[in-house]
Amino acid sequence: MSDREIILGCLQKNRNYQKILFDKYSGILMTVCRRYFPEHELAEDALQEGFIRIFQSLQQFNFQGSFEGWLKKVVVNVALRKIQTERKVRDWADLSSAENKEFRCSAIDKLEEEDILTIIGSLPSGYRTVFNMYVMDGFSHKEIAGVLSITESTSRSQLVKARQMLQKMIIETKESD
Amino acid sequence: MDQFFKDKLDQYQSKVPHSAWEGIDTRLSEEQVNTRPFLWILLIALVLLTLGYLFYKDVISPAKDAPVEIEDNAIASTESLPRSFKVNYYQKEEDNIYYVGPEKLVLSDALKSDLSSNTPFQSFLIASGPTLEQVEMNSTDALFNLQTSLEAPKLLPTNTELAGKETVAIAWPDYKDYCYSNSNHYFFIEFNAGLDFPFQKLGVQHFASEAQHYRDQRALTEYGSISYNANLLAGYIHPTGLLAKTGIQYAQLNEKFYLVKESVVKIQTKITIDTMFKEDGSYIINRDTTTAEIMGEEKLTTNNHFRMVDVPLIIGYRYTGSNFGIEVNTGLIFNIMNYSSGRIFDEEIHPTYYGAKGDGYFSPFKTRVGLSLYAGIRYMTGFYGRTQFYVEPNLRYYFNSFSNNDFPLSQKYMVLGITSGMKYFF
Repeated sequence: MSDREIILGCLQKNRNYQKILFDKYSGILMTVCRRYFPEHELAEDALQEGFIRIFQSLQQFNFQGSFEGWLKKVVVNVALRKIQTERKVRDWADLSSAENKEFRCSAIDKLEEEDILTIIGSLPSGYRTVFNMYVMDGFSHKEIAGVLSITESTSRSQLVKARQMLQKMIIETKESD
Repeated sequence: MDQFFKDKLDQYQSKVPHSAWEGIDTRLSEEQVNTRPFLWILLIALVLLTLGYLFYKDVISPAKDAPVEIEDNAIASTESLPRSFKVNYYQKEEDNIYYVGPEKLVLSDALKSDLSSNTPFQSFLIASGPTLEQVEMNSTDALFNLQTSLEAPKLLPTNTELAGKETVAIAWPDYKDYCYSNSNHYFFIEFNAGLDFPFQKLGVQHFASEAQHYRDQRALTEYGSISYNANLLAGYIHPTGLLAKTGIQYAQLNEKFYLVKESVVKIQTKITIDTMFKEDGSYIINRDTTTAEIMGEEKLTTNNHFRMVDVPLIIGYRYTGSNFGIEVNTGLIFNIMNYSSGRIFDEEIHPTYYGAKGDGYFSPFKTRVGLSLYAGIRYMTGFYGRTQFYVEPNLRYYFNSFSNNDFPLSQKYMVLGITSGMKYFF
């Protein structure tokens, strides 16, 4: 079944088509949520909220561009609002959580997807959010500053530190192997 | 490293627990149940109005043919008389029974309580016999000038013996008086129509790329224009001057999309046909086709509309002077339906139709825009019987964005308007 057929069915509020859309894209969108929320319950909440928002605003999709990209954009917006609401980006200098994690992978090019999610999830919340927004979801520093109510320079420095921490974690993982 | 992370996770499908869909399914079911809260509000308002009317009709103002009685000859002072009167005549048919048109007035033992409680005033005027024509005046002074020379009219508080009189006239204050005064309570219905001017405010609600640029382009191409609204309201004024009213309203906000496309190339083709006749009668046809590219500008103009059905819930306070009234009104307006049509830039800065001319896939605006705050000051002057006319400058502010939640831009409105209308008192 094509995306167009699924979308038209969902626009009619047909629950069967909504389930088909969920089954088709929930895996990819769950990955998006897990990038922002390492805690599984929060990721699932964000996914549910994201799908509700998708069904509410599906009429916005104008069939130009990637449908998957549009879905991701909606879910990312939901995740960011959830982060703002739950003040997950409260402590920008908190590095402690990164030092207590274990990684078991041989080298960067052999990292599996779950390893990557674990590594990203091990970043402090502020680092993780900026890294996700800039690297994974294509936001500019100006946009990140606007969404997270921080300065652009803070966003840049958080990104640098996030990258350094990720490299360090990967190297430590190599050495431990 | 960035690209490696991105490539690895871009299409990775995480495992999704079954409970996720169950939660969504439950939420969707709840939303469907709650999709029409405003219809419930409308229904409740109509029920309350109906009950209020029945209460008014049966308790506050019973049928005119209810039996009434005058018991003694007490005469009140002139000071409590209102400025003008409406007079009804009652012709005697038999002892203590008088008729006016189809309405029957029975002068029975119940007059005292009925006239004191069933009319919104405590005093009434009565005349008899040859003075009836003279009683039909609308001036208190004139009536009391008559009182000095004739037996009637007399001002009676609630008690008078009418036995033996052939005709009586009972007068009560003109509505003009107790519309201005705060001493009585009553129900009313009003019809209003007015002109509005909307002020649009665009904001970035999602930080998608180019959202700022998109907002700027939208702002440069959309202009407010004259809009209008009309409503039918019913309400109640308390003796303290406080009032409440509700009803149904149609409001239409108008805007203009105006875009000048510069350096537009228009191709113009010119075909020339020449026929040349020779001496021998034959002829030659010469066809010449010239194509020219004309550079110019193209103007696109579209009238954009938000057509809305609303339920206003308004409270107010009425202040009255000697010959005018002022009402301060404020309240909430619940939008129950919004139909949008027109043309704006889409996110890729292309002029795109939505609504009636759209393709159905570009629908940036909500079908319900939620609550708006209303505030207005009404100036009332003339009265014609039970009818009153007025004008009311007003302001309306919409709390919510008209655009859908996931649209990159929020779109809010403040509307300034002036309304005129007429109010009828029961």
